[in-house]
Amino acid sequence: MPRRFTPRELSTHPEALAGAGRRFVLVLVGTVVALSVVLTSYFYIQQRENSSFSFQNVVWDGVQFRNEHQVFRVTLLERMAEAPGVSAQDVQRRYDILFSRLHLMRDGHTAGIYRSDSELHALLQRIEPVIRSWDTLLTAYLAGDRAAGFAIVEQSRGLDADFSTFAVGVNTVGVKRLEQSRERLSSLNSVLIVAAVVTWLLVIGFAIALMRQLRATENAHAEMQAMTADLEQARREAEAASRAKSNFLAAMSHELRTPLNAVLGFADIMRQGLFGPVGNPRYADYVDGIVKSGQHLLSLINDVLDMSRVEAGKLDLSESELDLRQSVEEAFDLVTVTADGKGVRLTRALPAVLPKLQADPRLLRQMLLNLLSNAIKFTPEGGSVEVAAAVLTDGGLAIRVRDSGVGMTDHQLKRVFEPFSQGDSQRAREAGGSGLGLPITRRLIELHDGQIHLSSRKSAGTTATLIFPASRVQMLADAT
Amino acid sequence: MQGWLRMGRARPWLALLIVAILMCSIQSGHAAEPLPAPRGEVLLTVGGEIGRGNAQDASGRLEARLDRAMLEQLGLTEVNTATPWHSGTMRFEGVLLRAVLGLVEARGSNLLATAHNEYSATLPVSDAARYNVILAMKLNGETMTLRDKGPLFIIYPFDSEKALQNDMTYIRSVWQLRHIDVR
Repeated sequence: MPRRFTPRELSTHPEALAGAGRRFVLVLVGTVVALSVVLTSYFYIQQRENSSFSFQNVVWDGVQFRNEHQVFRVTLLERMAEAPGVSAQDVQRRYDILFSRLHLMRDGHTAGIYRSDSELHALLQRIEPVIRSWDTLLTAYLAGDRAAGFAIVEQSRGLDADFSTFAVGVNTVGVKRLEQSRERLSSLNSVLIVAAVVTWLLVIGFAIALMRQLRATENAHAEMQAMTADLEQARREAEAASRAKSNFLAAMSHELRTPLNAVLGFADIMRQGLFGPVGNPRYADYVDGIVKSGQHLLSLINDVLDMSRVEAGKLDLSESELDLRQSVEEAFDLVTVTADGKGVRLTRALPAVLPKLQADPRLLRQMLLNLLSNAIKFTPEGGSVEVAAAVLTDGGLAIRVRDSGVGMTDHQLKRVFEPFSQGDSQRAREAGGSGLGLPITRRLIELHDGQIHLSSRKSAGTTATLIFPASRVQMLADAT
Repeated sequence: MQGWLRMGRARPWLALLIVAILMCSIQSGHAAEPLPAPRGEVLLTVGGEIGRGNAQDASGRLEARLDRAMLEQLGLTEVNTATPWHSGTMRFEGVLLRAVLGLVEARGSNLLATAHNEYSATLPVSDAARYNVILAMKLNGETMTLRDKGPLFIIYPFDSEKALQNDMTYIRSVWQLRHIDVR
């Protein structure tokens, strides 16, 4: 009992699998790119922050400014008190050092920071002109004007409060900036942590997706293999079934012929009246019927036998070099009685010089007989059937059987090579036959590597052409 | 054959000895020649581990006192760079620090640079070798006075290398420089 084949459903379609993989890779690449862009720009900004002048220096500068103011005043007072080792040059140098601080309040990084704070700016606006004005006072003092020295000391003491405020203000600004950069750093840290988490998630997601895809691919592969095995099994079973059917038909046809031959033999004896006449004339008619039906049945069985032999691949060619003219002659001999009985004229149009043909003589005769008997069968009284042969340009040989019979429509023509079908079923019933003639003929010519062509028009006759390939045709120059 | 081999083994020792003797003679030869005394105002004194000088410090150690002419004799090098203390790119001219160190045959690995306002910073000698660090004397062609951070201002070529634009370098850029102690 052959197993019924049911096609499997693949759990995952391969294309869906590939699509999901592509989408995943796109998302992954996109995320990685976005992540690296964010991180790179963040690091770049951070780098720029780092490379700029630090705010600690600004605080230092502020404190130094105040310091140098104090040192100048102390040196000046020391000079005024005539302390030993303090020269006029020392006082001048201390003033110059203090003076050199002034331009830091106008130029460079520090100036920008002082200017950004309105309070610091205002303080500097007050301090700077005072210090500048000491230049002339100091020159006067060093020239001997003691009052000028006192004036400087007086003004310097007045600046103390402003310097204190300035130093504190600068420190506050510095601390504020430091706090800001610390905040930036901590925000960078959070970004880094988020990036690390995202990266981990990506890695984990990628691993999971990879595993899933791997598993899906494995499943698909296993399913495909199972399906292939199923198909292979189904093919073997189908072939075995087909062979069994053909074997059965061949065997049965053979077995059917034995009793049928007995029936035909006895019926023939009765018809000939070998042991005395059949009593009632009606019985004689019946015996005739038995013989005719029996013969028809026999030809049907023969056809089925041939067909199943071809199908079962049991038909081997026993080839020989044969004379086409003779084969046509033999075929004519077998159908002349039928044709004459029906009033159909048989003609042949064979060229004077015919090539030798490499073919199985029995099968060639059968092909010709099939075509001729079909032609005669479907040609009404008074019609004609013609056999012609010609060598083709490519060296092949064409044998043509043309009748002036009922012909076929295009629709009928299409179905005529299907086994057990006849062009016109009504007419076929009248004409008899198995409907296997043309299918068998086609199988036989195909065994010879040839082709059969059929052309027909309704009520205008049918032409069947057998074509043997050039490899089977042997031109003989001296053949007659 | 054996004698030749023994000679071969002795040869490197001999060569080393000769080289050592030669080096000693070169060293002592230079040390014997002191720097000329400064004629003008002393801009820079270099003390500590030096091999050549023209004076002695308070504790009697060798000291090199250099005036403007002596420094300028070493040749002026130009450094164009921006600094955190100026607006825009400035043109500094001065002597290469490594030329000054060569002049006094400095032997230490660090320099303690001290300014007129007693600010001080330590510089590795390797900085002078790696970068064109100058003791700037002129700013945009004008001689720098105390009032504009002169007369000597240690200037690194900040713009030539990103690595120089950091606080460590900025604090080493001593202005109103007056003394270098080689250690």
